[in-house]
Amino acid sequence: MVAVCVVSALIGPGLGPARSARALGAFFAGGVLPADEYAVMLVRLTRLAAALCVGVALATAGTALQALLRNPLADPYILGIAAGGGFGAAVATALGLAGGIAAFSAVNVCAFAGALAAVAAGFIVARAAGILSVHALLLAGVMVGAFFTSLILLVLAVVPARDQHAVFLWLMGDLASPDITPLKVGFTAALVAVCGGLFVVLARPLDLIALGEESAFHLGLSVEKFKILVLGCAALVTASVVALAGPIGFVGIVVPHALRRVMGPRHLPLLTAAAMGGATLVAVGDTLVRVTADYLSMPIVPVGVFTALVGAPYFLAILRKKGY
Amino acid sequence: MVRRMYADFFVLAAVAGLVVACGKPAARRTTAETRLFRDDLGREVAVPVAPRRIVCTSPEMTEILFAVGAGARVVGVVRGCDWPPAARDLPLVGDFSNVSLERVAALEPDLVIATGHEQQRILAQLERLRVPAVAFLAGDVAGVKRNIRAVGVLMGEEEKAAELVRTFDAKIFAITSAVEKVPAAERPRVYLEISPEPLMTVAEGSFVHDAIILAGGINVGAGLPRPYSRIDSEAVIARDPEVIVICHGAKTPAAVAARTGWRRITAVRDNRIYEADPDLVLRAGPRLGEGVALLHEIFYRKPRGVEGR
Repeated sequence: MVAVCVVSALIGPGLGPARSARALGAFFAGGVLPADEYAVMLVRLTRLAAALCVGVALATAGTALQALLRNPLADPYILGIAAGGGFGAAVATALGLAGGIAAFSAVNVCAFAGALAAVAAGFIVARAAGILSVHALLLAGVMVGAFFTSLILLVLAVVPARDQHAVFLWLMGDLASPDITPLKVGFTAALVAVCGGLFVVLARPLDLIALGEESAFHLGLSVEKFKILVLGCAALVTASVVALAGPIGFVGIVVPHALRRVMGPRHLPLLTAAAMGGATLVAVGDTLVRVTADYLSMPIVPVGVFTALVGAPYFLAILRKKGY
Repeated sequence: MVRRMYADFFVLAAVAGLVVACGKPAARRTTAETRLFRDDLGREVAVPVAPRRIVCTSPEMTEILFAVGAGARVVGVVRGCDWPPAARDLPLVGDFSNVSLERVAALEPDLVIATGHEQQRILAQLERLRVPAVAFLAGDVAGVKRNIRAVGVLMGEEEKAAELVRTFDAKIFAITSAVEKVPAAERPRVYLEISPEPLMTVAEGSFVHDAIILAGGINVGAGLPRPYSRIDSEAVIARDPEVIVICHGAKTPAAVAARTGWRRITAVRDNRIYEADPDLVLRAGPRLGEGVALLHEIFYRKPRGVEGR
């Protein structure tokens, strides 16, 4: 993971690897750096930090949700978060909303709100009977997602071509936006750290709940509260990275599955590995995107396209070996 | 229930087929005298010698049609065809990237004028309906002049077109002769942004790239893989433009200056971030001469005070 980060920090269109290496050294050693090299490194490291944040958030949230929902198909987006966030972003783009809250733009804020609204809708439906049914939650999430997807299509159908382009790009999941600032990444990282920490603390109860709700209850777990806590935490952390970079695909489903094969079912090692694996996957993806654009002179591809492109076949390969 | 739906669908399809079959007497129009016209996509199209009902699916071509004096013959346009003001009152046939075939057909045009950008689908559909449609593309400023002349020929307004090209040339010439006196080393490096999300600029193969050069700038986007290309934020910083031109109206100079790392760019330090009207600069039409003049004025504007609005 460290190696990936170093390589990623050395590659980019602004500076060649050799000068980047020198600049990187000076950047962290506090040395004097030419203004333009400093700016280039600032942009690149901000982007790298954002990639790591997204990877950690999606992979840990995916792991936790797979345990909670006891469904191998679960990923952070299954509750409609991606579609809800996409709708928020699309509306903000279409209306040309300016402003925002603190460091975050209107698109960030609306995406965050849309993502949480989607989860809340699913949650309310699934809890109608008094207790939270994970099956109802899954079904409601899929339906809420479908509903918001159709709303996105509605927005796309009525906005001018220029906004369509921006919305499409957002939906692919991209880390290249010039509006990803260190401050935004800092806020997101703090939230990811808190929620990630909470997941680690909850690793033991996650082991229990993966056995089934009834067993977990008999083993002394306060199941209802626990479900709401994990769900809220996963929703929050996923919504925050979706707001930052759009719905980057497949990280949250592939990484937990791949690592469960290696690390076994216990959640403490699994969550730790997933955090590192997710971060590495997104960082590698974003680096490759830059490499293809720079060295092969290809058009820039959003990182979300890459992760899905690699993630889906890999998932199929594990599935074939494992056989559900 | 499902079976019912299928049955309904087949009835619907049959009726639609019938309508299409009935609505096909294109022979009515082919009685008019035609000639072959080779458009910018290399398609040979039989066009009427004197077209009387024109649908135009591009803002820049609409401007050319009106400028050569054929505005009265335009019966339909797309959203965004807003110049000259008279074009705003014409019936709409959809968006630039989403033209409604049905609305075009309903206007019974004897010629459709489109662009070669992103309009291949509607061109193919029109071909099937036997509505003559020609596409224009301008890869440089000279291409714009070619298109003006070609529209003149199509509309039988050769003289007006020639006159238009003369005034266009005169405008460009006034700029290029001023630029000639500036040594190459003193010309500013320019970053012209056509979209903020994703960051996009122009490169070789775009008439806007050509316009930047004619206006006396050095395009930092040169060498990117496509005429209209995404660019990485850090690439903009590394190429250190001396002038930034915002050509989309979606971001203020202050918002651009606030991007991560952009404070270090010479243009930002010198307060040389300017907004330019995209309608003048990004349309391959008769007003591009004004666009080049505007760019020239921006490139050589003396930086003064804080520019952020």
